[in-house]
Amino acid sequence: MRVYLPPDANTLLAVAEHVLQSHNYVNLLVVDKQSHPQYLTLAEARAHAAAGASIWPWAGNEPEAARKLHAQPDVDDRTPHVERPFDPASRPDPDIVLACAGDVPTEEVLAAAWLLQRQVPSLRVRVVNVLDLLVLPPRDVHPHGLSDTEFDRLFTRDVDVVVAWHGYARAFHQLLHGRHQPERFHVRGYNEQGTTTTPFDMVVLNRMSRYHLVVEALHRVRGQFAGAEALIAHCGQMLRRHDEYIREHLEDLPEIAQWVWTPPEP
Amino acid sequence: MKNQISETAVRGSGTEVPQATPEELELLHRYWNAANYLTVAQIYLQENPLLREPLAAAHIKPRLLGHWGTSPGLSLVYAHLNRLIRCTDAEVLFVAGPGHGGPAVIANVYLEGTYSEIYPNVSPDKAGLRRLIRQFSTPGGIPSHVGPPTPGSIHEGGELGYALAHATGAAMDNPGLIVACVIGDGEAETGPLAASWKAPAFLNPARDGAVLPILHLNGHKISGPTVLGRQSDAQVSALLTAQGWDPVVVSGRDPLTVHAAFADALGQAHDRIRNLQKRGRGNGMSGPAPWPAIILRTPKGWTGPASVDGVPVEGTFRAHQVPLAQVRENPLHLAQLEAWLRSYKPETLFDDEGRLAPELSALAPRRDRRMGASPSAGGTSGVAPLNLAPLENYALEVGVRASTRHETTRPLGEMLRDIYTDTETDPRFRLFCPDETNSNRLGAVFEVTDRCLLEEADDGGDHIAPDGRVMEVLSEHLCQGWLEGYVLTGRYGLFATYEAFAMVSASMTIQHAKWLQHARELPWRRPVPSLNILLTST
Repeated sequence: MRVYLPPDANTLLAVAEHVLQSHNYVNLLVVDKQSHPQYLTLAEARAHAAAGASIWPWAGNEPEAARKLHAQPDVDDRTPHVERPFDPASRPDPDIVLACAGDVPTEEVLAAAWLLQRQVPSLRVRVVNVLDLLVLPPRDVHPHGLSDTEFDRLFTRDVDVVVAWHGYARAFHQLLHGRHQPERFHVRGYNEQGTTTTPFDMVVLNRMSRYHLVVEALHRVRGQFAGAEALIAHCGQMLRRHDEYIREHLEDLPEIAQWVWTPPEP
Repeated sequence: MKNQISETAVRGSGTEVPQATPEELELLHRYWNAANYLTVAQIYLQENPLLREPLAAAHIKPRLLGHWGTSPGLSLVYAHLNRLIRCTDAEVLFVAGPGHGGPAVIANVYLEGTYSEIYPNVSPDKAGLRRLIRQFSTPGGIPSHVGPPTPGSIHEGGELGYALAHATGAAMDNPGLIVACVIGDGEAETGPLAASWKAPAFLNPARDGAVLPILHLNGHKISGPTVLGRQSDAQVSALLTAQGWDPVVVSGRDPLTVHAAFADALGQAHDRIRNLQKRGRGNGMSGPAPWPAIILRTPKGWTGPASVDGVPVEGTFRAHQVPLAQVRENPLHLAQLEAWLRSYKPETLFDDEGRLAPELSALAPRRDRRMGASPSAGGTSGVAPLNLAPLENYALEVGVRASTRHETTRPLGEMLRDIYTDTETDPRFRLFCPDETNSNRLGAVFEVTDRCLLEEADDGGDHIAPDGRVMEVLSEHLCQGWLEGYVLTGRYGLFATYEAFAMVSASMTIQHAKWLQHARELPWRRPVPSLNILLTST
């Protein structure tokens, strides 16, 4: 059994090329048919599909050096962890990991990462996209399971991870069983809420919107970060505005419906 | 007790299949006895397989697990299909809907020789017979139902409902194949099977093989009556007629009468299948064609104990599993079992070395025409791999990341379109979808093909044609069941469905995954293309 959640068209093509020619598997591909932001070039999509899950460095703001450290294939699992440092530039780990699986959750996570980086610039954010769901369990549970070294390279060993994914939250937790400190994963997913309403209202009702994710992330980070309180207040306001706006106009706020990523200023 | 089994006979046989002579029917009857004998022996015995010694309690398995009730009917159909194949050289795939009748199917693939070829230690001799009976439903042995270890099978005998859908998928793009699909009256009560009767609206005689449903009504489930079992021949026939079949009824309790009628019915069905195909392939005609079907009414647990402890068994629900339950403890049951086994005259069927009598061996088809050796059940053998064009043909240009929006599935539709084009002359790919191909943004496929429908055209359709290769039917069970039948016979495909309704067929997915898991442990089963399911959300 294989479960793929391609976040965009090119990753879907890369996965489809593999599954259509494969043998002896059940392959589930989960995709939304509506328009979504497109993220990866074909070459990147192929690499991402081959890896199953990757850090999207362009969507986070970790210092280049820290990411490079984590890109080393031979990082030893047992390297003593550096205590939460005081000098942000020298921290090897991000302050928070935002993980996503599925196209709608990916869009919300990217929007959340974008808000965090703009409003709380001192916060180090990492974005991880999970395309092949079954990289999550340990390898003795599923052959696609990442080694502990690979898993920790993506999700660190002890940084909190806010997850948005397409399915039930508890199903994601079940997959994480056996990983290091699974309780640091805070999963949002479909919670059987909502019926015929706007696309963004669906993620709001299931508490997986960009604003919910931002608030969750800021509650989970350890330490004080300038701008955090203001951003939490902003998120609350936006959720109230959203609620009022869709009841009045019967469609999503333009800044949400038309939100696109703008690359961070250098 | 109301019972719909009457003595009817089909008159006349087909042109390719001569009417069976009395001598031929007598031989067929003995072959059927051999299958029934081995069925009962598998359910009950652990020793003394040829019954050359008086039966003793020590010869009986301590745990009796198996299904007798459906087995004589399965063996009747199998034995007669053997004759049809010998007369016509047709490739026939056997789908046992009542797959809990595992001992009957095992008995038949053993008698035809395929079982011993695949499992050499279950040899066609005394030692092999002992292994055959001891392995059935025992630890370290084989399950009581049809499954991946059963030669020639593509259909698990567990959850009921999918036999006819699997048979239909196997027939698609398999023009030489006849899929004989036995459907029990229990399975006929399920939703998926009820939907599956729509196959004639989707099977094109010009390019697809044929499905021959054999609706076996013995009137009872585990502990109660079946609906179709209680209905009249006219009612059951009307059900099938309405769905595009042209059924005949074969019904009876006297074996030789039923043998004659069933042989005729099969011969006629074969003729009609070939005529439909000739017409379709000659002038490209399409349009709805009534396909033959057989309604077979015989007693449940036929030829078994008429009654046990004064209670009727044969022809009742009590024949469903193990009619005699206390054989080790109750000498009366033991004696009754011995009389039952000896009623088949095993000494006339097998010699002292356990070899089947040569005049009976001669009734099995040869080599890969034996249903246990069906090439179609053999996975990818003979099916070319799927060739895909370079992904660059479909990939989106991504400039500034996440700054442009696009429908994610649309390029996939273009990829599927090109697969259809590439496989046009060697068809081995189909897309299955309730009715959302366009809505799922996969509509590019309609640039090169259509939705398949054999029913009369009207003006309101969009890309509907009898030779269309996109299979749209508003039943997740059918879409998935067809695709499973298609991939289990070596071809490639994709089932695209709305995620909220995919749960309708989720249980099928689990069954299919179990099949693959078990099949992978069997070196003689070649790999089959994956079951691919695209779950779309809105």
